Amino acid sequence: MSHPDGYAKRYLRHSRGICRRLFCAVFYALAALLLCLPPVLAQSAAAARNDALYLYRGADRNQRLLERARQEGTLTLYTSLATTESRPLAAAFEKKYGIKVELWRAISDKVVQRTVTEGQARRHVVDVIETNGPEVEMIAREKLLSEFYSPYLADLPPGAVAPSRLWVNDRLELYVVAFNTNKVKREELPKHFEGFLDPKWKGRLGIEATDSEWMGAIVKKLGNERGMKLFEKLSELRPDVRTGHILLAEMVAAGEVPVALSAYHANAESLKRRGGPIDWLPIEPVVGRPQAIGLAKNAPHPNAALLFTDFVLSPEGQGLFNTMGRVPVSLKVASNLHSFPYTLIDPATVLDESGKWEKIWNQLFLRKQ
Amino acid sequence: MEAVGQLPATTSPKGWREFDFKWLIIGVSVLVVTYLALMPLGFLLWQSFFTPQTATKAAVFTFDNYITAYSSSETLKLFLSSVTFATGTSIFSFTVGTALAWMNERTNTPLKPLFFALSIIPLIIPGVLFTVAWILLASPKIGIVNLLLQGFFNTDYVFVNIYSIWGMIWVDGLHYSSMAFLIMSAAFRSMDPSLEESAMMSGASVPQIAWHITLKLTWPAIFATILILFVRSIESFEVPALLGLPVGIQVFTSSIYEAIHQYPSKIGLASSYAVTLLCITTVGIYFQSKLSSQGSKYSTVTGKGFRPRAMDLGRWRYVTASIFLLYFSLIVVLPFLVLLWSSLQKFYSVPSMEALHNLNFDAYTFILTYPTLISAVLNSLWLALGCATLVMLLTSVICWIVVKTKLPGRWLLDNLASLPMVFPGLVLGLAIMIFYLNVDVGIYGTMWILFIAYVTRFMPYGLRYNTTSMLQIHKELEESAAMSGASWGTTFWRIILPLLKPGLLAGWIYIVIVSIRELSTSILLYSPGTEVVSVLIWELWENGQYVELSALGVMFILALFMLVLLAQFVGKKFGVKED
Repeated sequence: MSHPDGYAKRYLRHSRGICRRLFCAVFYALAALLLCLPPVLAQSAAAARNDALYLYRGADRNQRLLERARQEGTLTLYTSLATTESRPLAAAFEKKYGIKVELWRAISDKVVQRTVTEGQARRHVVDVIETNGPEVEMIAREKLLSEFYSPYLADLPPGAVAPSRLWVNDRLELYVVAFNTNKVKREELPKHFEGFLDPKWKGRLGIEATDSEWMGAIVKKLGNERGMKLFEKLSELRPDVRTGHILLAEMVAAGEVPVALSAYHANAESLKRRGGPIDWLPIEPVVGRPQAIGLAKNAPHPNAALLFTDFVLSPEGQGLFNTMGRVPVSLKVASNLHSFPYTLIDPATVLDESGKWEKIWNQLFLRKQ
Repeated sequence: MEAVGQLPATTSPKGWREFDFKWLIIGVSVLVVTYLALMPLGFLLWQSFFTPQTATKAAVFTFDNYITAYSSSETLKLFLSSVTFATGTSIFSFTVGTALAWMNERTNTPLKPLFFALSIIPLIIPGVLFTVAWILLASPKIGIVNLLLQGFFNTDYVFVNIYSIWGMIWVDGLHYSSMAFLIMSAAFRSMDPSLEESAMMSGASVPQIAWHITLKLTWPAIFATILILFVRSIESFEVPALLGLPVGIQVFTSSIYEAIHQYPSKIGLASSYAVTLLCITTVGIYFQSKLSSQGSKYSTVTGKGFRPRAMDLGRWRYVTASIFLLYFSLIVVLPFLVLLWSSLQKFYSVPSMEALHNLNFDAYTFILTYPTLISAVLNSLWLALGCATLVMLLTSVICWIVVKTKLPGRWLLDNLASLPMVFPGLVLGLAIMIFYLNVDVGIYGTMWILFIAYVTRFMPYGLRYNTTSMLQIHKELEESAAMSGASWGTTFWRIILPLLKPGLLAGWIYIVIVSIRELSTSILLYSPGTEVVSVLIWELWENGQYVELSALGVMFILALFMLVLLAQFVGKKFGVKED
């Protein structure tokens, strides 16, 4: 065996050199990170140009928009709309205008994370954002969206344009009661939510783990006292808590959860259309969440982006939503998907009150008792 | 000690060139690993001291994240239930994996080559599919197992309930038993049988040999396996969310999840939770380094005519073969059949004669004509093969430094490279995203950013696989190579790497599989055109296309099964052979 000293010393001397270089590299890297973290969201020239273009109302608007959009040739869409619907939507647009849609699809909060992180780093990739209303409101609050004008705004019901005018409600997600048709008869179901407090429903109900905003909306609709009493009583029945609305709907169709109280209409409808033993009912009070579309302030393809938004809000795009089982909002499109009374969640309120409702929700439904 | 280290001291021009080469490799490896690990670690620690950054409110320095995270009794409660779950899961998967590995590597059980590939199947099945398959098998209401047993005994007694801590341990433990299997089979493979043989000559029984000789000799591998299994199950999210939540069992990671899913997203709070996981890992790695520093105690691969050979079980080999068969029919084939069944339906329904009439191949047609399928498969393959190869080579050098040198503080290097294991996937994804958005080297939005994320994420696993094998190689082999005039590079390439092969190959297979499944960072970092298979799987799941997903799962299992067989076949051509 040779003596370790000489080797170790040389090794050490060398590794010190490595360490020094390494620390330098890491230091610079961290310094770069630090400098960039607090974003200075300066109004760039591009943003100002986009604003003018988004709000243009001249008689030649549509003609001008189409020409310039064709020159841009492409647009990037970030959405949480399932690819079973977002792809056909993009394809219809591509076919009509010959403009390519780069589609990036993820769950709504990933859409926010990606848009906001890119925005803070001033990497302008996205043109159009389409996802849950509260999430689009988050992006709006991060000052990454711009107001826009579209002739199709006139077709929308009052309240469809956000108070900030930074986004527009383009479709609805309705929370409905979904049930397994082999395990529960349609007539058995109550007319009002309070009917579910009957002990016969114990062990047959299911909810989704993150639906505090749904509870908030129902409590507001019924009044605080009556609403809270409903949910407290409901929590005593220990409904099955499932992670993910799609899993909840799948479990209804599989017979595992006979009745889901807060199923997404779109999930239940698509399983039903495939022939699954599942159906849904709008049991009062029905809550709807606006899904929203917004244009990026620094969109690299502003004309194509606006043209796409026009398309989504037009009777053609809205009709396409309807045939795919998604609830349209345009008054020009007749739909049997929302021919019942419902309350809309206000995205801004959801953000402002999320802490409060989540706390109650977790207490009532998630903690073991 | 290191004659290898002495060698470059010669002043001949040739010696100098090799000196350069050696330090280049070591230096570059250390640099790359440190860079990959420090970047997200710095981000995580940095973030944990700041409030969320929004357009209207700048981030400010704070200790609140730590106070919020650690002053509530809720955290402690969640942490304790996590520890229970992780302890159960790691012991269970360790026992299953080790038993399989022992039968596979140390005995002459028939049909072994097939069993190797079969043992990895649970790992191949995407997590959400595996869990849902078990819901369909063992739920109290619709579980096929319960329905069959209830029909047979004519009762409504619930035989198995997947929604319990035991159900969670069962599903997660089985899913990761393959990981234990891979590490332990690598450890068993490079064992000199002479000690076992002496014990046998002295009249010890097979169980006695297995307990007193085989297991004791592989103690570092056992420790490494349990450590990695424990840490991984503490940070697992899927099984607790799908099986625990319906009955109110919540774990530590749900706090991390809750913190991130707010507006503004509390990355800082999530990071301060993750610091606990960093501490657990650090303590574990420290103890592992104590084992490594015991030198050659566990080295079984020595210069004295090493020839790994299996033990003859005699008639017992039919017993082990039947255990294998039973295990595979229950654990591997059953969930696979559930997948196969649902992939042939229009929507999932409990098997019946009526449902039998609805069988069709629509789901397979759908998958095979899916627009992004081909590019996603190619991207995933490229990433998985590249990542696995780079990680295994990189960590073999790091591992050599940690195990074979006496460098002070080398365990810190080991620790640093092991920490990415516990970064919450989303935090890691965000760290990489923010870094490369700001330090613009042109990789954002390309495959390279995914590649960097994968290498960072799976580096710790590569390191554990290599460490277990490296500890078994006695340094006298390197020394004799050096004495015969081999350079460090030659010794490393011709002696160390071939002897390390069992660990290298096992780690490589593991990383290939988990890279293809990786979702939590991929979902944030992929761009149009760089879709990967895991995103496709997630997309199908989120679209409610459970049937199509099952079809993809079935094809996925078959393809990876072939890949593993191929890797095994190629692996046999290199390295140490039996004769």
